Amino acid sequence: MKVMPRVDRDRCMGTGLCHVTAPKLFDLDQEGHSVPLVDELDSAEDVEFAREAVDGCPLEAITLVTEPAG
Amino acid sequence: MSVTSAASVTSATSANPESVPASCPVSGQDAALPIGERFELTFGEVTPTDLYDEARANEPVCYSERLGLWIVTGEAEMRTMLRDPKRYSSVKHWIPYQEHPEVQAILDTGLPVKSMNMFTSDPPRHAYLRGLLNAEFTPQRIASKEARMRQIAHEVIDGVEHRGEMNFSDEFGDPFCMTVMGDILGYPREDQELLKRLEFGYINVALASCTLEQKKQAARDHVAHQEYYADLIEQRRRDPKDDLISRLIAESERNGEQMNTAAIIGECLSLQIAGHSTPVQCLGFLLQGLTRGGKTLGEVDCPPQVLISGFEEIVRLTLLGYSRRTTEPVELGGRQIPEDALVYMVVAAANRDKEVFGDIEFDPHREKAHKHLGFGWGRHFCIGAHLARAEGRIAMEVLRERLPGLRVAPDFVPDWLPNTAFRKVRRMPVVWEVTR
Repeated sequence: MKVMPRVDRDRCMGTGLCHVTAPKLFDLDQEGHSVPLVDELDSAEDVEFAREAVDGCPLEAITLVTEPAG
Repeated sequence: MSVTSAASVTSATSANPESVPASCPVSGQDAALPIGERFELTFGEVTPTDLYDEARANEPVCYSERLGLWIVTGEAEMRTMLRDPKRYSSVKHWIPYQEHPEVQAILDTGLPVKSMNMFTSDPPRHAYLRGLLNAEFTPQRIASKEARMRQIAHEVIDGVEHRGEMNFSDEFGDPFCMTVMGDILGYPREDQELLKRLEFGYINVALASCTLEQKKQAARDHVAHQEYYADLIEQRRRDPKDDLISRLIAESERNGEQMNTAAIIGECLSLQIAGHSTPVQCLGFLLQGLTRGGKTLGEVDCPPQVLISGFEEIVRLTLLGYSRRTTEPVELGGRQIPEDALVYMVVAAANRDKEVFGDIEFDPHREKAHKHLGFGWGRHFCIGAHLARAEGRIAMEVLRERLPGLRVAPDFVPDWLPNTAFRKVRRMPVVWEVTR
Protein backbone atom coordinates (compact mmCIF):
# COMPACT_ATOMS: atom_id res chain seq x y z
CA MET A 1 0.00 0.00 0.00
CA LYS A 2 1.32 3.43 -1.01
CA VAL A 3 0.52 6.34 1.32
CA MET A 4 0.90 9.80 -0.21
CA PRO A 5 0.55 13.16 1.57
CA ARG A 6 -1.56 15.80 -0.19
CA VAL A 7 -2.08 19.48 0.66
CA ASP A 8 -5.13 21.40 -0.51
CA ARG A 9 -3.65 24.80 -1.35
CA ASP A 10 -7.05 26.49 -1.26
CA ARG A 11 -7.54 25.46 2.35
CA CYS A 12 -3.95 25.96 3.55
CA MET A 13 -3.41 29.28 5.37
CA GLY A 14 0.27 28.77 6.03
CA THR A 15 0.22 28.21 9.78
CA GLY A 16 3.30 26.02 9.39
CA LEU A 17 2.07 23.61 12.06
CA CYS A 18 2.69 20.66 9.71
CA HIS A 19 6.28 21.80 9.26
CA VAL A 20 6.80 22.03 13.02
CA THR A 21 5.16 18.63 13.56
CA ALA A 22 6.93 16.83 10.71
CA PRO A 23 9.78 18.96 9.30
CA LYS A 24 11.04 16.11 7.11
CA LEU A 25 7.67 15.71 5.43
CA PHE A 26 6.29 19.26 5.02
CA ASP A 27 7.72 22.69 4.31
CA LEU A 28 6.18 25.99 3.24
CA ASP A 29 6.80 27.24 -0.29
CA GLN A 30 7.70 30.84 -1.13
CA GLU A 31 4.09 31.95 -0.92
CA GLY A 32 3.66 30.31 2.45
CA HIS A 33 1.63 27.28 1.34
CA SER A 34 2.47 23.89 2.75
CA VAL A 35 4.09 21.44 0.34
CA PRO A 36 4.82 17.76 0.94
CA LEU A 37 8.56 17.07 0.69
CA VAL A 38 8.04 13.42 -0.27
CA ASP A 39 5.79 11.77 -2.84
CA GLU A 40 5.26 8.71 -0.74
CA LEU A 41 5.59 7.86 2.94
CA ASP A 42 7.99 4.95 3.10
CA SER A 43 8.07 4.06 6.77
CA ALA A 44 5.58 3.47 9.55
CA GLU A 45 7.26 6.27 11.47
CA ASP A 46 6.69 8.76 8.64
CA VAL A 47 3.06 7.69 8.37
CA GLU A 48 2.73 8.36 12.09
CA PHE A 49 4.26 11.84 11.76
CA ALA A 50 2.08 12.60 8.73
CA ARG A 51 -1.07 11.50 10.59
CA GLU A 52 -0.14 13.86 13.38
CA ALA A 53 0.24 16.69 10.86
CA VAL A 54 -3.16 15.81 9.38
CA ASP A 55 -4.79 15.88 12.83
CA GLY A 56 -2.95 19.05 13.83
CA CYS A 57 -3.83 21.12 10.77
CA PRO A 58 -6.52 23.58 11.88
CA LEU A 59 -7.63 24.17 8.29
CA GLU A 60 -7.98 20.43 7.54
CA ALA A 61 -5.84 21.01 4.47
CA ILE A 62 -3.76 17.81 4.61
CA THR A 63 -4.92 14.37 3.58
CA LEU A 64 -3.22 11.03 3.16
CA VAL A 65 -4.12 9.25 -0.05
CA THR A 66 -3.66 5.49 -0.19
CA GLU A 67 -3.18 3.43 -3.31
CA PRO A 68 -2.40 -0.24 -3.81
CA ALA A 69 1.36 -0.71 -4.25
CA GLY A 70 2.75 -1.26 -7.72
CA MET B 1 -8.83 46.08 28.65
CA SER B 2 -7.15 45.90 25.38
CA VAL B 3 -7.32 44.52 21.92
CA THR B 4 -6.93 40.82 21.98
CA SER B 5 -6.05 38.43 19.23
CA ALA B 6 -3.90 35.43 18.66
CA ALA B 7 -1.11 37.33 17.15
CA SER B 8 -2.02 40.87 17.87
CA VAL B 9 -0.18 41.87 20.86
CA THR B 10 -1.32 44.11 23.55
CA SER B 11 0.61 45.71 26.29
CA ALA B 12 -0.52 47.98 28.95
CA THR B 13 1.72 50.88 29.50
CA SER B 14 0.77 54.38 28.46
CA ALA B 15 3.02 56.98 26.92
CA ASN B 16 4.23 57.51 30.43
CA PRO B 17 4.54 54.02 31.89
CA GLU B 18 5.18 55.30 35.40
CA SER B 19 1.71 56.80 35.59
CA VAL B 20 -0.19 53.56 35.08
CA PRO B 21 -1.30 51.67 38.16
CA ALA B 22 0.54 48.38 38.16
CA SER B 23 -1.64 46.47 40.55
CA CYS B 24 -3.57 43.54 39.13
CA PRO B 25 -6.38 42.15 41.18
CA VAL B 26 -5.78 38.47 41.78
CA SER B 27 -8.57 36.28 40.51
CA GLY B 28 -10.39 33.51 42.22
CA GLN B 29 -10.46 34.85 45.73
CA ASP B 30 -14.12 34.53 46.65
CA ALA B 31 -15.37 31.01 46.06
CA ALA B 32 -18.96 32.04 46.91
CA LEU B 33 -19.28 34.03 43.69
CA PRO B 34 -20.50 32.42 40.44
CA ILE B 35 -17.45 31.18 38.58
CA GLY B 36 -17.65 33.76 35.80
CA GLU B 37 -17.50 36.58 38.33
CA ARG B 38 -14.23 35.30 39.78
CA PHE B 39 -12.28 35.92 36.58
CA GLU B 40 -10.09 38.94 36.00
CA LEU B 41 -8.85 39.43 32.49
CA THR B 42 -5.40 40.46 33.57
CA PHE B 43 -2.44 38.36 34.55
CA GLY B 44 -1.08 39.20 37.96
CA GLU B 45 1.66 37.82 40.10
CA VAL B 46 -0.37 34.71 40.79
CA THR B 47 -1.91 32.68 37.98
CA PRO B 48 -5.24 31.36 39.28
CA THR B 49 -4.68 27.75 38.25
CA ASP B 50 -7.24 26.47 40.79
CA LEU B 51 -9.90 28.68 39.25
CA TYR B 52 -8.87 27.50 35.78
CA ASP B 53 -9.08 23.84 36.86
CA GLU B 54 -12.51 24.36 38.43
CA ALA B 55 -13.88 26.25 35.42
CA ARG B 56 -12.51 23.75 32.90
CA ALA B 57 -13.99 20.81 34.85
CA ASN B 58 -17.39 22.31 35.71
CA GLU B 59 -18.16 25.20 33.40
CA PRO B 60 -15.86 25.27 30.36
CA VAL B 61 -18.11 28.04 29.05
CA CYS B 62 -19.44 30.56 31.57
CA TYR B 63 -20.76 34.10 31.57
CA SER B 64 -19.44 37.07 33.54
CA GLU B 65 -22.07 39.68 34.19
CA ARG B 66 -19.44 42.01 35.60
CA LEU B 67 -17.08 41.76 32.60
CA GLY B 68 -19.95 41.58 30.12
CA LEU B 69 -18.50 38.65 28.22
CA TRP B 70 -18.48 34.89 27.90
CA ILE B 71 -15.45 33.06 29.22
CA VAL B 72 -14.19 29.83 27.69
CA THR B 73 -11.64 27.63 29.50
CA GLY B 74 -12.13 24.34 27.63
CA GLU B 75 -9.65 23.52 24.90
CA ALA B 76 -12.19 21.63 22.76
CA GLU B 77 -14.56 24.62 22.84
CA MET B 78 -11.71 26.95 21.84
CA ARG B 79 -10.80 24.79 18.85
CA THR B 80 -14.47 24.72 17.83
CA MET B 81 -14.50 28.51 17.86
CA LEU B 82 -11.18 28.94 16.08
CA ARG B 83 -12.14 26.72 13.18
CA ASP B 84 -15.48 28.48 12.63
CA PRO B 85 -14.97 32.12 11.62
CA LYS B 86 -18.51 32.28 10.21
CA ARG B 87 -20.00 32.02 13.69
CA TYR B 88 -17.07 33.34 15.71
CA SER B 89 -15.88 36.48 13.99
CA SER B 90 -12.60 38.35 14.40
CA VAL B 91 -14.26 41.58 13.30
CA LYS B 92 -14.99 43.88 16.25
CA HIS B 93 -13.60 41.34 18.66
CA TRP B 94 -11.82 43.79 20.89
CA ILE B 95 -12.85 44.64 24.43
CA PRO B 96 -14.63 46.98 24.94
CA TYR B 97 -15.91 47.91 21.55
CA GLN B 98 -17.33 51.26 22.69
CA GLU B 99 -14.84 53.96 23.58
CA HIS B 100 -15.53 57.02 25.73
CA PRO B 101 -16.96 59.75 23.40
CA GLU B 102 -13.99 62.06 24.04
CA VAL B 103 -11.54 59.27 23.20
CA GLN B 104 -13.57 58.29 20.15
CA ALA B 105 -13.56 61.91 18.93
CA ILE B 106 -9.75 61.84 18.88
CA LEU B 107 -9.66 58.42 17.18
CA ASP B 108 -12.10 59.72 14.57
CA THR B 109 -9.50 62.27 13.45
CA GLY B 110 -7.41 59.30 12.26
CA LEU B 111 -8.24 56.36 10.03
CA PRO B 112 -10.38 53.36 11.04
CA VAL B 113 -7.35 51.10 10.66
CA LYS B 114 -8.20 48.91 13.62
CA SER B 115 -11.21 47.52 11.82
CA MET B 116 -9.43 46.42 8.69
CA ASN B 117 -6.17 44.65 9.50
CA MET B 118 -5.49 40.93 9.28
CA PHE B 119 -6.15 40.31 12.99
CA THR B 120 -9.59 41.90 12.81
CA SER B 121 -10.83 40.39 9.56
CA ASP B 122 -12.67 37.25 8.52
CA PRO B 123 -12.57 35.32 5.24
CA PRO B 124 -12.40 36.22 2.41
CA ARG B 125 -10.67 39.48 3.45
CA HIS B 126 -8.46 37.61 5.91
CA ALA B 127 -7.36 35.08 3.29
CA TYR B 128 -6.40 37.90 0.93
CA LEU B 129 -4.28 39.67 3.57
CA ARG B 130 -2.74 36.48 4.91
CA GLY B 131 -1.88 35.48 1.34
CA LEU B 132 0.00 38.75 0.89
CA LEU B 133 1.89 38.53 4.16
CA ASN B 134 2.64 34.81 4.52
CA ALA B 135 5.60 34.98 2.15
CA GLU B 136 7.43 37.36 4.50
CA PHE B 137 7.38 34.90 7.40
CA THR B 138 7.94 31.42 5.95
CA PRO B 139 10.53 29.18 7.64
CA GLN B 140 12.82 29.60 4.61
CA ARG B 141 12.54 33.40 4.65
CA ILE B 142 13.27 33.47 8.35
CA ALA B 143 16.21 31.09 7.87
CA SER B 144 17.61 33.46 5.25
CA LYS B 145 17.63 36.22 7.87
CA GLU B 146 19.50 34.16 10.48
CA ALA B 147 22.94 35.70 9.92
CA ARG B 148 21.50 39.20 9.96
CA MET B 149 19.56 38.50 13.18
CA ARG B 150 22.73 37.17 14.80
CA GLN B 151 24.58 40.31 13.72
CA ILE B 152 21.85 42.51 15.23
CA ALA B 153 22.10 40.64 18.55
CA HIS B 154 25.89 41.13 18.54
CA GLU B 155 25.54 44.85 17.81
CA VAL B 156 23.10 45.35 20.66
CA ILE B 157 25.43 43.52 23.04
CA ASP B 158 28.43 45.57 21.83
CA GLY B 159 26.74 48.60 23.36
CA VAL B 160 26.20 47.16 26.85
CA GLU B 161 28.83 44.44 27.26
CA HIS B 162 31.16 46.54 29.45
CA ARG B 163 28.45 47.36 31.99
CA GLY B 164 27.72 44.02 33.64
CA GLU B 165 24.04 44.81 34.11
CA MET B 166 21.05 46.04 32.11
CA ASN B 167 17.29 46.19 32.02
CA PHE B 168 16.81 43.21 29.70
CA SER B 169 13.60 44.28 27.94
CA ASP B 170 14.54 47.90 27.29
CA GLU B 171 18.22 47.42 26.50
CA PHE B 172 18.35 44.07 24.73
CA GLY B 173 14.82 42.92 23.83
CA ASP B 174 13.54 46.18 22.39
CA PRO B 175 16.48 47.06 20.13
CA PHE B 176 16.92 43.42 19.02
CA CYS B 177 13.26 42.76 18.15
CA MET B 178 12.61 46.26 16.76
CA THR B 179 15.65 46.14 14.48
CA VAL B 180 14.58 42.72 13.18
CA MET B 181 11.01 43.95 12.64
CA GLY B 182 12.19 47.30 11.23
CA ASP B 183 14.23 45.41 8.62
CA ILE B 184 11.14 43.46 7.56
CA LEU B 185 8.62 46.29 7.62
CA GLY B 186 10.93 49.08 6.57
CA TYR B 187 11.17 51.54 9.47
CA PRO B 188 14.65 52.85 10.29
CA ARG B 189 16.54 52.20 13.51
CA GLU B 190 16.56 55.83 14.58
CA ASP B 191 12.75 55.82 14.83
CA GLN B 192 12.58 52.99 17.38
CA GLU B 193 12.19 55.21 20.45
CA LEU B 194 9.44 57.24 18.80
CA LEU B 195 7.61 54.08 17.70
CA LYS B 196 7.93 52.55 21.16
CA ARG B 197 6.19 55.58 22.61
CA LEU B 198 3.49 55.76 19.94
CA GLU B 199 2.67 52.07 19.77
CA PHE B 200 1.30 52.03 23.29
CA GLY B 201 -1.55 54.21 22.04
CA TYR B 202 -2.89 51.43 19.86
CA ILE B 203 -3.47 49.11 22.74
CA ASN B 204 -3.94 51.48 25.60
CA VAL B 205 -7.04 53.34 24.52
CA ALA B 206 -9.13 50.39 25.57
CA LEU B 207 -7.37 49.59 28.82
CA ALA B 208 -9.82 49.69 31.71
CA SER B 209 -7.29 50.80 34.31
CA CYS B 210 -6.31 53.98 32.47
CA THR B 211 -7.71 57.37 33.38
CA LEU B 212 -9.63 59.30 30.76
CA GLU B 213 -6.69 61.67 30.32
CA GLN B 214 -4.31 58.75 29.73
CA LYS B 215 -6.71 57.25 27.21
CA LYS B 216 -6.99 60.56 25.39
CA GLN B 217 -3.21 60.85 25.22
CA ALA B 218 -3.01 57.26 23.98
CA ALA B 219 -5.60 58.04 21.30
CA ARG B 220 -3.53 61.04 20.18
CA ASP B 221 -0.46 58.78 20.06
CA HIS B 222 -2.41 56.27 18.03
CA VAL B 223 -3.33 58.89 15.45
CA ALA B 224 0.28 60.12 15.39
CA HIS B 225 1.40 56.51 14.86
CA GLN B 226 -0.86 56.28 11.81
CA GLU B 227 0.57 59.56 10.51
CA TYR B 228 4.09 58.22 10.98
CA TYR B 229 3.30 55.29 8.68
CA ALA B 230 1.39 57.52 6.23
CA ASP B 231 4.59 59.58 5.86
CA LEU B 232 6.77 56.49 5.51
CA ILE B 233 4.40 55.13 2.84
CA GLU B 234 4.72 58.39 0.89
CA GLN B 235 8.52 58.15 1.07
CA ARG B 236 8.47 54.55 -0.16
CA ARG B 237 6.00 55.38 -2.91
CA ARG B 238 8.61 57.78 -4.31
CA ASP B 239 11.60 55.59 -3.49
CA PRO B 240 10.70 51.88 -3.12
CA LYS B 241 13.00 49.62 -1.13
CA ASP B 242 13.25 45.90 -0.45
CA ASP B 243 10.78 45.93 2.44
CA LEU B 244 7.22 44.94 3.27
CA ILE B 245 5.85 48.49 3.06
CA SER B 246 7.13 48.84 -0.50
CA ARG B 247 5.61 45.48 -1.45
CA LEU B 248 2.23 46.50 0.03
CA ILE B 249 2.40 49.76 -1.94
CA ALA B 250 3.07 47.78 -5.12
CA GLU B 251 0.05 45.62 -4.31
CA SER B 252 -2.10 48.75 -3.79
CA GLU B 253 -1.07 49.98 -7.24
CA ARG B 254 -2.16 46.67 -8.76
CA ASN B 255 -5.24 46.19 -6.62
CA GLY B 256 -6.40 49.47 -5.12
CA GLU B 257 -9.85 48.17 -4.23
CA GLN B 258 -8.46 45.65 -1.77
CA MET B 259 -5.39 47.50 -0.59
CA ASN B 260 -5.43 51.23 0.07
CA THR B 261 -3.23 53.45 2.21
CA ALA B 262 -5.37 52.94 5.32
CA ALA B 263 -5.08 49.18 4.92
CA ILE B 264 -1.29 49.41 4.56
CA ILE B 265 -1.14 51.52 7.72
CA GLY B 266 -3.33 48.98 9.52
CA GLU B 267 -0.98 46.13 8.64
CA CYS B 268 2.11 48.13 9.56
CA LEU B 269 0.73 49.09 12.97
CA SER B 270 -0.44 45.64 13.92
CA LEU B 271 2.64 43.80 12.63
CA GLN B 272 5.00 46.24 14.32
CA ILE B 273 3.25 45.86 17.66
CA ALA B 274 2.88 42.09 17.35
CA GLY B 275 6.50 41.78 16.28
CA HIS B 276 7.77 43.81 19.17
CA SER B 277 6.01 43.58 22.55
CA THR B 278 5.32 39.85 22.75
CA PRO B 279 8.71 38.54 21.64
CA VAL B 280 10.47 41.01 23.95
CA GLN B 281 8.55 39.72 26.97
CA CYS B 282 9.03 36.11 25.85
CA LEU B 283 12.81 36.55 25.53
CA GLY B 284 13.00 37.81 29.11
CA PHE B 285 10.86 34.97 30.43
CA LEU B 286 12.90 32.44 28.43
CA LEU B 287 16.13 33.68 30.00
CA GLN B 288 14.45 33.54 33.40
CA GLY B 289 13.11 30.04 32.76
CA LEU B 290 16.40 28.63 31.50
CA THR B 291 18.39 30.07 34.43
CA ARG B 292 15.86 29.05 37.12
CA GLY B 293 17.35 27.60 40.27
CA GLY B 294 20.14 30.18 40.46
CA LYS B 295 22.07 29.04 37.37
CA THR B 296 23.70 31.28 34.81
CA LEU B 297 22.88 30.90 31.12
CA GLY B 298 26.39 29.57 30.50
CA GLU B 299 25.87 26.78 33.06
CA VAL B 300 22.76 25.50 31.29
CA ASP B 301 23.08 23.01 28.47
CA CYS B 302 21.33 24.82 25.59
CA PRO B 303 21.26 22.79 22.38
CA PRO B 304 18.95 24.33 19.76
CA GLN B 305 16.14 21.88 20.54
CA VAL B 306 16.08 22.98 24.18
CA LEU B 307 15.91 26.63 23.14
CA ILE B 308 13.16 25.89 20.62
CA SER B 309 11.07 23.85 23.07
CA GLY B 310 11.86 26.31 25.84
CA PHE B 311 10.54 29.15 23.73
CA GLU B 312 7.32 27.21 23.02
CA GLU B 313 6.98 26.66 26.76
CA ILE B 314 7.26 30.37 27.40
CA VAL B 315 4.62 31.12 24.77
CA ARG B 316 2.39 28.47 26.38
CA LEU B 317 2.76 30.10 29.81
CA THR B 318 2.80 33.77 28.77
CA LEU B 319 -0.36 34.17 26.72
CA LEU B 320 -3.56 34.89 28.59
CA GLY B 321 -6.17 34.83 25.86
CA TYR B 322 -8.01 36.32 22.91
CA SER B 323 -11.60 36.77 21.87
CA ARG B 324 -14.18 36.46 19.11
CA ARG B 325 -17.65 37.92 18.52
CA THR B 326 -20.63 35.71 17.68
CA THR B 327 -22.48 36.41 14.43
CA GLU B 328 -25.53 34.28 15.32
CA PRO B 329 -26.89 32.46 18.39
CA VAL B 330 -24.63 29.48 19.12
CA GLU B 331 -24.45 26.55 21.49
CA LEU B 332 -21.04 26.03 23.01
CA GLY B 333 -20.07 23.79 25.90
CA GLY B 334 -23.75 23.26 26.69
CA ARG B 335 -24.49 26.97 26.95
CA GLN B 336 -26.61 29.12 24.65
CA ILE B 337 -24.69 32.23 23.58
CA PRO B 338 -26.64 35.00 21.84
CA GLU B 339 -25.69 36.79 18.64
CA ASP B 340 -23.19 39.70 18.87
CA ALA B 341 -21.65 38.46 22.14
CA LEU B 342 -17.99 38.74 23.01
CA VAL B 343 -16.48 35.36 23.82
CA TYR B 344 -13.10 35.38 25.54
CA MET B 345 -10.92 32.29 25.32
CA VAL B 346 -8.74 31.97 28.40
CA VAL B 347 -5.89 30.25 26.61
CA ALA B 348 -3.92 30.35 29.86
CA ALA B 349 -6.41 27.82 31.26
CA ALA B 350 -6.21 25.45 28.28
CA ASN B 351 -2.42 25.73 28.30
CA ARG B 352 -2.31 24.66 31.96
CA ASP B 353 -4.47 21.56 31.65
CA LYS B 354 -2.72 18.85 33.68
CA GLU B 355 -4.50 16.15 31.69
CA VAL B 356 -2.85 17.43 28.52
CA PHE B 357 0.52 18.64 29.77
CA GLY B 358 1.12 16.60 32.94
CA ASP B 359 3.40 18.82 34.97
CA ILE B 360 2.38 22.28 33.83
CA GLU B 361 5.56 24.07 34.94
CA PHE B 362 8.14 25.36 32.42
CA ASP B 363 10.01 22.39 30.95
CA PRO B 364 12.39 23.08 28.06
CA HIS B 365 12.74 19.33 27.52
CA ARG B 366 9.02 18.82 26.95
CA GLU B 367 8.24 16.65 23.93
CA LYS B 368 5.93 18.18 21.32
CA ALA B 369 6.10 21.45 23.19
CA HIS B 370 4.42 23.24 20.30
CA LYS B 371 1.04 21.70 21.13
CA HIS B 372 -0.40 24.68 22.94
CA LEU B 373 -2.73 27.51 21.99
CA GLY B 374 -0.38 30.38 22.83
CA PHE B 375 0.25 31.20 19.16
CA GLY B 376 -3.45 30.84 18.46
CA TRP B 377 -4.94 28.17 16.22
CA GLY B 378 -6.84 28.11 12.97
CA ARG B 379 -6.48 30.62 10.18
CA HIS B 380 -5.34 33.33 12.57
CA PHE B 381 -2.44 31.23 13.90
CA CYS B 382 0.43 33.64 14.61
CA ILE B 383 1.96 34.58 11.27
CA GLY B 384 5.22 35.46 13.02
CA ALA B 385 5.61 32.19 14.92
CA HIS B 386 8.64 31.05 12.90
CA LEU B 387 10.22 34.47 13.33
CA ALA B 388 9.59 34.53 17.08
CA ARG B 389 11.02 31.02 17.54
CA ALA B 390 14.15 32.03 15.62
CA GLU B 391 14.50 35.22 17.67
CA GLY B 392 14.29 33.21 20.90
CA ARG B 393 16.93 30.70 19.86
CA ILE B 394 19.32 33.20 18.27
CA ALA B 395 19.07 35.70 21.13
CA MET B 396 19.87 33.04 23.75
CA GLU B 397 22.76 31.63 21.70
CA VAL B 398 24.40 35.02 21.21
CA LEU B 399 23.76 36.15 24.80
CA ARG B 400 25.27 32.89 26.08
CA GLU B 401 28.34 33.34 23.88
CA ARG B 402 28.89 37.01 24.70
CA LEU B 403 27.85 37.59 28.32
CA PRO B 404 29.49 35.13 30.75
CA GLY B 405 27.55 34.52 33.94
CA LEU B 406 24.38 36.04 32.52
CA ARG B 407 21.36 35.62 34.79
CA VAL B 408 18.33 37.48 36.06
CA ALA B 409 19.37 39.74 38.98
CA PRO B 410 19.03 37.71 42.19
CA ASP B 411 16.92 40.39 43.85
CA PHE B 412 14.49 40.60 40.90
CA VAL B 413 10.87 41.00 41.99
CA PRO B 414 8.44 41.09 39.07
CA ASP B 415 6.48 44.30 38.77
CA TRP B 416 3.50 43.05 36.76
CA LEU B 417 1.78 45.32 34.29
CA PRO B 418 -1.97 44.86 33.78
CA ASN B 419 -2.63 43.22 30.47
CA THR B 420 -5.44 41.18 28.96
CA ALA B 421 -3.41 39.31 26.39
CA PHE B 422 -0.13 38.23 27.92
CA ARG B 423 2.09 38.40 31.00
CA LYS B 424 4.20 41.50 31.11
CA VAL B 425 6.68 42.82 33.62
CA ARG B 426 7.77 46.44 33.75
CA ARG B 427 11.45 45.60 33.85
CA MET B 428 13.73 42.61 34.18
CA PRO B 429 17.22 43.47 35.46
CA VAL B 430 19.94 41.03 34.42
CA VAL B 431 23.61 40.80 35.45
CA TRP B 432 26.78 39.20 34.05
CA GLU B 433 30.53 39.17 34.65
CA VAL B 434 32.65 41.81 32.97
CA THR B 435 35.92 40.18 32.04
CA ARG B 436 37.92 43.19 30.88
